[in-house]
Amino acid sequence: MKIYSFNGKDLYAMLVGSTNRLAKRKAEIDALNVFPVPDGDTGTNMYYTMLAGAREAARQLDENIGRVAEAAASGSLLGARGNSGVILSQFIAGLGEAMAGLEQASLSDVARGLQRGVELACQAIANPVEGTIITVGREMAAAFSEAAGRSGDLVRATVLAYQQAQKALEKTPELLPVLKEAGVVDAGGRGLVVILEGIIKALKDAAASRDVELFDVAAQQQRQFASTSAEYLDKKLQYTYCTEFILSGSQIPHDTLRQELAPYGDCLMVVGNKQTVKVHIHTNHPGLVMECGLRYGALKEIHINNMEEQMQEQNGLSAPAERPLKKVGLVAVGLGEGINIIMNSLGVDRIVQGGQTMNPSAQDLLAAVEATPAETVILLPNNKNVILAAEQARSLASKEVMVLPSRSLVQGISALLAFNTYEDGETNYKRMEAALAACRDGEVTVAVRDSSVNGISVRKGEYMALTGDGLVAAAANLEEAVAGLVGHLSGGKPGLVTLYFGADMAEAEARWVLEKVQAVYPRADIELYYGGQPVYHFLVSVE
Amino acid sequence: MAKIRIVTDSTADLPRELVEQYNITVVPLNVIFGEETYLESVDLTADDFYRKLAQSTVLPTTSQPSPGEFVTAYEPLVAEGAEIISLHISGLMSGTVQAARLAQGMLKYPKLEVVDTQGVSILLGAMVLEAARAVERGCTFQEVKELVASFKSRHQVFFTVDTLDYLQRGGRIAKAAAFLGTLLNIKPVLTIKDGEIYPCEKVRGLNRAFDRMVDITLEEFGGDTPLRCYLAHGDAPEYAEMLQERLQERLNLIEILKSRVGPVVGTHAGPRIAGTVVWRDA
Repeated sequence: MKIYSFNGKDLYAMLVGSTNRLAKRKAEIDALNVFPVPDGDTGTNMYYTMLAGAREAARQLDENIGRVAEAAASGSLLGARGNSGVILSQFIAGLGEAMAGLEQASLSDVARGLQRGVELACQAIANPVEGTIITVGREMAAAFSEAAGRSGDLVRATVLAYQQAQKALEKTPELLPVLKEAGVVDAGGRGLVVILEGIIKALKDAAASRDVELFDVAAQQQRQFASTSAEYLDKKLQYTYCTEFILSGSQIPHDTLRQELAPYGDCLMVVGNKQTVKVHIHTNHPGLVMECGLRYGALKEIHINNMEEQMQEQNGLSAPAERPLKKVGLVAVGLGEGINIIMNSLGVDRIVQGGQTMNPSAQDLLAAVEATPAETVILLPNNKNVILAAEQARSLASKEVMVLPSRSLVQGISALLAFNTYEDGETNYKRMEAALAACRDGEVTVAVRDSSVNGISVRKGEYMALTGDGLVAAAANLEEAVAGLVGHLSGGKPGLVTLYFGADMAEAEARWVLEKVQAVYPRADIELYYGGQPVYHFLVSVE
Repeated sequence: MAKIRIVTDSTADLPRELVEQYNITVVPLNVIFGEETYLESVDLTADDFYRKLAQSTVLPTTSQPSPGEFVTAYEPLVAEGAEIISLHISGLMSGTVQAARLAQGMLKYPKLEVVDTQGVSILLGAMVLEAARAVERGCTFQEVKELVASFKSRHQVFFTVDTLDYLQRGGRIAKAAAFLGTLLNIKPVLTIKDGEIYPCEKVRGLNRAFDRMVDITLEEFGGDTPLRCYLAHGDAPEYAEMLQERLQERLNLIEILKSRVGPVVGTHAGPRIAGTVVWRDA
């Protein structure tokens, strides 16, 4: 089996192969997290990024490889999530550039594309770190180029590139001490190796002329945050009317009713007994739904709500078209009900759900930016793994976007405090940047495995205090970890301490922790707010 | 040489003693509670006003003096043949200065100068006081006018309120500035810039808000420059004390004056307002 040149359909098969492979391996990649917190999302992020590329390629499917490669590139750019996703999208962008305008591609085109991808990826991140996906990608590109120089066979070159990538991956703990301490290889690098495995499998399947279908997990899964994204305002409603009624009859056939109503909308519920059935559906045709119900019984307690109107009311808009254009708008990534409310109260126009456990894609951010009625938008990623996706959104946006590199929710709140509606974008950006620099913050969570980071050992089940620099304290109980963090952040002399307690904590428990911390620092002003964030028991800021 | 007379309006929030001491003519604005209309500082004191505000079921409104009331105020001074400088609340906050100008047009009196000071409350009051003292020192009409004009570059003014609701309801501050984040115990540090209220910063906690006011003043003047200070509050004496303590500790204050934020400004800012004007001599 030898392949010397390939077209758009072949490329698509490779994209599908690697996407499917990632889908199967993503949990394993997620688990390769360097910090012992349950925030592993590298595999998920890379999968979604790849999936976005493959989907766009499917839409533009063609014999012409240039067209398919460009579609994959733009799809993955828009769908990129997390740092590793953005870097991956840059590799694909490199391939897109190299194949632009080509009918068919040869090995040298791929080699050029990979090299270009490495360059783009390095440009995309401010300070590329060795021992990560960057290292693996560079060695992969180099091995591919070398193989391409010797023979024109795509399969052979890919296998050689894969072997070299695997070797580079195994060396990542030597290059990056944090990996070694945690006893893992780099997750993003592993993702890239998995992608190569997928490509090789696709090439082999193609040789055996087996068709591969895109394994679209995302389409089957509800978005993880759909339930908590009440603040996600940009979603266009597919069905306008929430329609509810009670049906009284004698022998109401639930299944038949369900089947008949299903085509009219979504969120269908048919519950009750044979005599009384409650029907709930989101539809554009409430009349037809009720007509259908009438065949089986009498209607009672009919409620029809226009959800579009409700949504606009929630957004404080009665007539969206008449919103005046603001000078400066604010889009922030938020996570947790309490945090979102605080951000809204500080003037954020659009909150994009996401953060530590589910990074929003560049497209999510872009959609929020575009939906914000302002000439300039200041975008707060509020998580270090979202900054690159935010940069991506900036480069794709039709308006001026300034990305404020806020690395945590609490940093974002500090920056928002410095925002002044009377000032222009640039002045505000500077003020907010200064506020970021002055903000000292960290968080407390529970360790999910034994580990040793920054010379501090932590056992599974113990509480860890983390800052941007990593683990700073560990303790068997929560209040000690919080007090340790406050001490670390303030140099032992805290002024104003703000604690945002998480979704899994009761307020009484949080208040008890506050009292314990107050006892350690009697002179500090300690304020407690409900953050509602997952994973972290407390987000902490010290001023 | 003709006498120089100072006219202002009641929003200058000048204490009665100073008005009498310098023989300043004060044209009152009106405060209206439902059917009842009061002349500010004539038949409604600050104490009475805040008590009424707390008890009244209707929210008060205000209205500017009529041009006729200005004519009445100017007439005796015109009869004296005095040179008149009439200093008023910012034209962006009230039509008072407009009414004064209409009166000026009716009187056609050449020695009357109507000035939009772009200030209000103690900021206007400080300028009126400085002008009155200059007159007492024997400055010329031209010198007094120049002194008033230069005040802009010699002062810092800051205030805070518990809630921006009052300012918003009266349209005295843009709606967008309302994003106060009341959830985080945030206090606004407000100033007056080009005749309008301008939110400088949002600060966590009252102590820090007052600290910031002093910080910014210190940045402007340094700790050694001899400064005069004018403090006022609506119905929040403890706020004024907190502010005074900080100002005295960190600045070289050669004079401290105190007043109350009167009914008209209180109507638009709410009772829990406190602020200061700090300035250096010309």
